[in-house]
Amino acid sequence: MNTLQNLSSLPMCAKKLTASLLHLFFLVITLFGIGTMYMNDNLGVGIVRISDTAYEETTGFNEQFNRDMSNIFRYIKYRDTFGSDDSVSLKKRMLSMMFGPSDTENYTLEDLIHQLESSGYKLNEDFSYVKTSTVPGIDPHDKSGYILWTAINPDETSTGASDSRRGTLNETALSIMDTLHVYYTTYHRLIASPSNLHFRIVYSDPASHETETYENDASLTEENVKQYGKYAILPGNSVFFDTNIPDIPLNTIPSLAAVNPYSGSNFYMIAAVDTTYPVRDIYSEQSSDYRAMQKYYIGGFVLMILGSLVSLVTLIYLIMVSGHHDGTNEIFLHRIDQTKTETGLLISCVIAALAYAFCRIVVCRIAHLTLPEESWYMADRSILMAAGYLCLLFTFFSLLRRYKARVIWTNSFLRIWHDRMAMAAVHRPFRVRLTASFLFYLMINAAMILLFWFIRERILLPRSITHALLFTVFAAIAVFNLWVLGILMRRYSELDRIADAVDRLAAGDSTYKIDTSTFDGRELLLAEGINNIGDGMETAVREKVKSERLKADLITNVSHDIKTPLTSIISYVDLIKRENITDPRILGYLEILTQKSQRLKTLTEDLVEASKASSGNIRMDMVELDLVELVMQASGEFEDRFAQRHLTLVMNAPDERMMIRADGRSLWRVIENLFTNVCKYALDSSRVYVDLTRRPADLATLQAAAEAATEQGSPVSVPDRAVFTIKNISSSQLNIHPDELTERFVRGDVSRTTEGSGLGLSIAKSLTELMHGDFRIVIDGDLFKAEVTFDILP
Amino acid sequence: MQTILVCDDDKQIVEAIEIYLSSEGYRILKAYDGKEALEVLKESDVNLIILDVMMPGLDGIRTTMKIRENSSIPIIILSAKSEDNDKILGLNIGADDYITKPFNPLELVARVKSQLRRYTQLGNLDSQDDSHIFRCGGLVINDDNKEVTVDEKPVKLTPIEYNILLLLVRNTGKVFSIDEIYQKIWKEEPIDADNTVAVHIRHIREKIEINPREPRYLKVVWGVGYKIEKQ
Repeated sequence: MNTLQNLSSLPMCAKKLTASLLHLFFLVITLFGIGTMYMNDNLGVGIVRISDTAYEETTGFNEQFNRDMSNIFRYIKYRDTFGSDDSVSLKKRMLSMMFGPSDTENYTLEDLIHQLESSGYKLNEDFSYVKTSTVPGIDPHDKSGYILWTAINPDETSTGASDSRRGTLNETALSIMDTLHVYYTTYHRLIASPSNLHFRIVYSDPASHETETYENDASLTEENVKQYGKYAILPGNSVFFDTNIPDIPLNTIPSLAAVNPYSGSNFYMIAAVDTTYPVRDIYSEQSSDYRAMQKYYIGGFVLMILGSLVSLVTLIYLIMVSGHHDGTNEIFLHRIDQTKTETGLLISCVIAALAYAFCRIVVCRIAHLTLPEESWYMADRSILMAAGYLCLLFTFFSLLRRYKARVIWTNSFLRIWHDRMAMAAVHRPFRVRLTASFLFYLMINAAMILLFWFIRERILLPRSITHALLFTVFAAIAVFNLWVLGILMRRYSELDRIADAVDRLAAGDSTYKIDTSTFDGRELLLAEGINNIGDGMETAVREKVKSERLKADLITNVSHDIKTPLTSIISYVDLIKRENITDPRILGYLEILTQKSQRLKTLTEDLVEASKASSGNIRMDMVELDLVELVMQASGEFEDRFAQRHLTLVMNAPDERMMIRADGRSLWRVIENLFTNVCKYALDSSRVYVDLTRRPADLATLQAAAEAATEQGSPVSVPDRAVFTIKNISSSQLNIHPDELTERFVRGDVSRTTEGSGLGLSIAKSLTELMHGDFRIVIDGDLFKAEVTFDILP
Repeated sequence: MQTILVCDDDKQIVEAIEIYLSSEGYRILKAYDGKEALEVLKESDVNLIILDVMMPGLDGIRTTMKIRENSSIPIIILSAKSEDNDKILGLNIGADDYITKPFNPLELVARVKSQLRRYTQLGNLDSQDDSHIFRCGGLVINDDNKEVTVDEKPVKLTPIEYNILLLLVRNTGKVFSIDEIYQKIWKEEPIDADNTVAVHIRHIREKIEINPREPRYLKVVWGVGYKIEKQ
């Protein structure tokens, strides 16, 4: 605890230094532990090793036991051939070979030794041999022939040439020596010397009751064998063994039978290993080796776990504190971290190269001076690995600090390049961008496919590496294409949204805005442009509405201001008339004044009404009313005025009612204006035709209704139309377009001599449209025709 | 002699009105804004007020409201504001009539007379009630001697006009369509389109109304028919 407290009170850089040193130290420990485990004799056994198993239970013991069993069988096989006592007779015949039709030679052991020595082999005491010199060219001492008999297979003898038994003298001699060597060592190790392996094999002839015994412990019986740690009892007449050794090969019994000198199955074998190892032999050595290795392995394992844990913890700690300093939350960037990211990486590479060169030229040589030659390779590798690891740490922490300070991307050449490209691309037309992008895309794909082909066809590497590389390239192609697809999807979804916005704008929804937060590049410009258009439209519409209202207000106010002086004028003109004036000239002037002041009065009233009607600033009280009744009432009102002008009203109205939905006063105003218009402009003593008819809706309305019906899925009824038509012959020539007549202040007679404000038809049209009716004027020569149409209520 | 207070910020208009009303025998008091009018009202005995709306200081609407706090004197508003909303507002806050500028001087005089008559004769209306006499405001029809008077002035009507008016007055507030009137008066089915009824109605209106274009009694319900408004 004290150490920990001391550590935590240290300044940050000391802590970092401590952590780094700890990290490196424990990394070395980890490697040492791994090395210890690797260099263990029994590598491959696995983690089982750390459990406390005795040597006798290992496969190593088992293998050694099985090996010794087969050695014993060989010994049995060759005892007669090579001799049972200590010395091997040099004069004993070992080989008969036939080199020619009458050229058969017999070789004793001495002859073979002599033969091999003359061919450059050196024989040791235990008949193992080493080739010490090579005779150049074909060995003159060697010759080939047919083997008639060898000591290896003492039971087989051939008398003549047989292809299967052809061989050279030297080869045959060497294999005889091998066999002899095995026999000899087995004899010495197991029989001549004391051994921890005790065995006793007895063959007995059932006919003669002779027995032949092979043993190194005559006292061994089936009973006392179990006092040794490991034992095996193999009765010859049964395939069942009595043993505590797990893996005795199945061919042991057949092998035992094969070397039976008698015919029959009366034999048994008893073998045991004294696991107290009282004698120093191969078993005791292996056992003590195994114990030592086990200790090493456990030690290495512990070191590896401990080292990797501590080095991992210190590394994590370093990752956490990297870039932080005492007393501040900011990320501190070293000078090297303040360079561009690519520069930093390049510097790291240069440092790594320099470190490599330095290690190669200086450190490795120093190591070579102090270390024995066989460890040079390991030392070189370790030094380079260490240097590489340090460089890697350096680069990693530099990148880590940049990452923490969020400058990896922002402070890089790639970013600058990317920004420049993006800037350059933004103002290019889509066509140029598309072409460039497509070429780039093709290039990348072609390059990667080429690389794929190149690795597959032109580079010779181990199969697994080639496959790994091919897979990497394939994955890269797939990722790149998916990336491009992703970009395309994004771009087109942006375009879709832009198109959607344009549709909405076109439909008049000027308040719709594209959410540009996910846009970039030229699409961003486009989307912002469309948003601006929307803003502009909205402003324009708002301004228009505002200015219409302002205009209506202005006209209303002005007309109020005109009315007050007009009141005085009218009143005083009237007062003048009351003075008994008899002068006809003055009376004429007065009449003109009266007329004009009255006209001014109408004009101001019409003006207000026209501005209100056209701006829709009028309240409509829509009720059901009968158009026929209304026209009758109106014609009654105008009867005397028509009579004044000698106009004959010809009315055609149906007997039935024609109920429509309209505002009574406004509709009266429409009809009144039309009648007034007729009174003013119709040719004297002519006929005025007023028609009220019912007619079906026109084709366009029917089609629209049919479409609506298919959309809604239910039939839509189309009401008939009530049509009011008034026709008259104009007194003056109508050289004017019908549409212009409904404009404000336009009158049929350009001279404007007649009474009227020129607003009547304009007011009539505006009011009709406000009541959802249609107002139409047709001029055919001097024929003036006005038509007002409303839907008939069902 | 009856006294009328004329209040308008335009002096010429006040003078013109004074000339017309003086010639009819009324005494005229003049004021040029709302405050003056209120002061004059306090000091003098006034029978009727003609009031402009748009005046400096206290305007016509607020002046009317002040007067109505303690007086039921007839008030005629005279204004350049000719929209329905203005008329409705003026009549709702207590004015008895609403005349728009520019006005016909004779109409003004007629309306003044009408208002005064009603105001002074309001008390003894019920005494003469008779089953043969039909009243509707200033319109009186005596079915015994077939006499029609409007504001006590006799009006000459043709028999058909008289029958139409009687029908409408007897059913005050009810709307009669042209066909109904035709059937009831001519006692036969209407043949074809005929504006006879409408013409007769117009003639009646011209005879009994002060301003036939803005009738007080015989109203047109456009597209439906005609009726006599309940007074």
